[in-house]
Amino acid sequence: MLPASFTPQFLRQLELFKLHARRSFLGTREGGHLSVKRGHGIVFSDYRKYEYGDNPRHIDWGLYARSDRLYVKRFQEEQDLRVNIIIDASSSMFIPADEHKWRVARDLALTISYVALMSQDSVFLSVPGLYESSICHGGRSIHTLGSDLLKLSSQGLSDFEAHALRMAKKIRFPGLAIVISDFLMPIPSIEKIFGTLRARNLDLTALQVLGPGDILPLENEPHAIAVDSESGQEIELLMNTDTQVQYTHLLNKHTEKLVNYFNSARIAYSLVLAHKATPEHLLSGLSSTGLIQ
Amino acid sequence: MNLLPLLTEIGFLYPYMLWLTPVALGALVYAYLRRGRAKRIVVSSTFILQNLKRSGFGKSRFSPPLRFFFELLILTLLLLCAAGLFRLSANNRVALLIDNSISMDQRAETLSLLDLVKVDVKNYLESLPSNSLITIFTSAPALKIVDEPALRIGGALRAIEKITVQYAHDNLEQSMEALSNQSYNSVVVFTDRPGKESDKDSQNNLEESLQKVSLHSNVSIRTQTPNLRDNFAIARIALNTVGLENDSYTLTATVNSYSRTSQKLKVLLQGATLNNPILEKVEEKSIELRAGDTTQLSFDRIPQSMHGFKVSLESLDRKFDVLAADNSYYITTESKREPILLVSQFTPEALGLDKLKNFAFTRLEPTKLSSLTTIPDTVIFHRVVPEAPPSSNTLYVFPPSENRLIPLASKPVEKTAVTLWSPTHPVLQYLNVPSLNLTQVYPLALPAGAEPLINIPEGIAAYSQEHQSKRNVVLGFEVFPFEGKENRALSILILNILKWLKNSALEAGYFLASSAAPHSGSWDEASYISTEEKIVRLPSGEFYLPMPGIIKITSSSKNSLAAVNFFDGDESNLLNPRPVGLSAVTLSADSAQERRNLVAPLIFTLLVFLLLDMLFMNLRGRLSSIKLRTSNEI
Repeated sequence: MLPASFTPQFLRQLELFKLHARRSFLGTREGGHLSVKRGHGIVFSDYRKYEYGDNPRHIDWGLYARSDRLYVKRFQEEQDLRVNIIIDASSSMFIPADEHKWRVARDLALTISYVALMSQDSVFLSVPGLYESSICHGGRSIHTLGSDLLKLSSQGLSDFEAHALRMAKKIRFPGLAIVISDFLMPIPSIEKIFGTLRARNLDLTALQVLGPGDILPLENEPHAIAVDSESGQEIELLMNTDTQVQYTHLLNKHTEKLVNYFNSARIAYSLVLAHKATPEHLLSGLSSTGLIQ
Repeated sequence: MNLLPLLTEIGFLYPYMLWLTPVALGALVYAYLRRGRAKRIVVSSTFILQNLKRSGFGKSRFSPPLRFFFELLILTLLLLCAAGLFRLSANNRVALLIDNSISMDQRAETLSLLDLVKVDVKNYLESLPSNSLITIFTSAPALKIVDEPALRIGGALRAIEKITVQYAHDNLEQSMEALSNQSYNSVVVFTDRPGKESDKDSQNNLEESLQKVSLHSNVSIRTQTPNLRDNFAIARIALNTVGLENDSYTLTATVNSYSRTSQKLKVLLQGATLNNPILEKVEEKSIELRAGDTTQLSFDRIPQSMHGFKVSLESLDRKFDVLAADNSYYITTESKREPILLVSQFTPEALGLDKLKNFAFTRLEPTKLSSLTTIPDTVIFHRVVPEAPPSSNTLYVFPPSENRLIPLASKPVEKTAVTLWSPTHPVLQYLNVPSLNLTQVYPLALPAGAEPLINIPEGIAAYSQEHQSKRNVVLGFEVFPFEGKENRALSILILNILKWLKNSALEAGYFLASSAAPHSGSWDEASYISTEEKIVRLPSGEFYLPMPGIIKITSSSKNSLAAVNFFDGDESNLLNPRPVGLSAVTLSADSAQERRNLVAPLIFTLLVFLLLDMLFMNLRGRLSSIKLRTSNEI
């Protein structure tokens, strides 16, 4: 079962896309991605000396003619790509409830999963602290993933960093890793998460989901006591124009640091605004990262 | 607008309560900071907001709404009430002390000195500023407020008409002392007494406390009638039973002259009976009294059928006797019966003492002497002697031979004669001592300090003692029963002894005018026979006697007559009135201004504000609900 936004038209649209990895990874089965494994494929890789038992069809006769030595062609095998999707389900993703940050994050994950599964890639989806899927193959697995994600709701989780690190350490197979979160946390925490994932030899992508409440909090309550949804910390603020301007400046500064880090760490990054998260927007966001093509 | 005078007029009864101001103000501000419009809102993350606050932005500033100032006003009113805000009143507080003693009744023609003083008081009142608050006091018989304690000028002018002369001493010094240290701007005394010379000098020194106290002696009277201060008065009268017949009275009257010249006076004696309580002329005498002299008149052989007497005098030239109030004196036979305790195994009737009408004998049996708790003024020990001498005037008649208090010199003797007697002692006055027939006499041992009265060959038959104003007479022989003319010598002796012990002739007691008759609560009725004046029964039950005269008392269906008098030599001596000293009066430092407590109006204002606040909140709530309903309907 998939969310209502996954209409048949949208799904058909998604089938035209394919996930793209910036480098080759070893797969587990035949797929649509060039693997580091050498074998039978389409894309020529290199030559090696003929050995008894090699298929004579792979002998490069032209090279033989030139060198009077027998060489066989080696090809990159096309294997599947392991796609690891990590979704932040801490309390901040569910607050404010009407901004549907979690829903957008969920839809992003399912979109990526569908594209991957339809391209014969394998998908591992985890919601640190809440949910871990099995390694999914084939297009039908999307329904299982959709049903599982639809059942999830805010459990008041906090400390996404700790959960994400635990999850990251469980990833054994290289491939893609996509982290979907609001990333409203200190940069060092983000660096720690991605550092751990990088150590797993993963191609990293960060998708940030922000809602209007993150961009301009307390807009209708100029004098309020803001309570952190995860830590419960309280801050009393008077949100006048100057304060709002300063907040925007600080948010941009944080985002800038985030982008700088991702750039320096060669992590693909895209910002998705929850209040504008139409399917087209989602696709364009994913496309902008180069994740899907 | 100059606020400085207003600020100097403001004060606080409990200024330390103002220390609560910063606490209260802080609490109000804190309440508004906490109350304000700060709403708790859960946000996804305060990560950026923390940085915002660290950079100094978003701090809540205290921006109070209009209601804050309204509540601040209410808080201020509460604090002012707690601190006891008062305003020093600008009222001019004046006390007028009017001497309404008997001397103020002196008259030139028809107007008394008090009437003229009232005119003086009115002129003074009309000279006062309009913001004056006046308290009028009268001094006689005691300091008393006339009408209300604080009167405006109009009220004071009406109140002084209520003042009347009292048959009493002026009580000025005590009254002025009572007025000391009270919150008056000035105290003005209206009296016929002059001020002391020392006070006149100190007035020239302009001492503030004395400046505020002024003395108004009515000089105008003296200038109008230079001879107005001459006066004659009856100082006292006494009624004696005469001799042995006991069937008539002698009345003696003491007349004082407070005049500068000799004057002829007419003295009239009037009498009334109990059954016909109307005063009728008994006798009239004319005397001439020298200036400043005192004389005694006697009216003899007054029939004992009369019970009440009035002696009055009249100067042939009225202008030499300006005070008529002291020209009369009253006496009755029943006004006072001297109590005497008889310690004897015989009753007063058995001893013939019931014939002595002017004494009230109560008997105590000798065996019950130890039970006596209060010793009366005069005691007769008849054939008995106590263990210890009592503290009273005492007559010992024929003491027993065995007693320790009055030792006998020798054994009793029979039929002895008097050899010596005291020629001047009052006890033996009018007595033919040798005619005393002494049948049995115990010769007495004369104690130290005693004066022998009657000597016999065997010793002392009678002696007297005086010690610490107490008098004793000891008779070594029997004098009872009292037989009157049947035994004249002994009867005279008994009468003289009782007279000497009581230290007076029968000066019948009287009630004091301008006072409540003591113990008159048991009377059923009382009325004057000598005047139309009414006797008022006080709430305490006692009867108030406003003036001298003879009153008829009905008690337990029995009628009696009693005398009411007043005489004071100082009041009658108009020639040389005693100066009154002003130094007795000192006014307190804060007497200049009266504190007007503003707490009550503050509380009233506070309640009005609170009511408005409640109404406003209620109205605001209703408007909000109307607005909400309206938006919902849309």
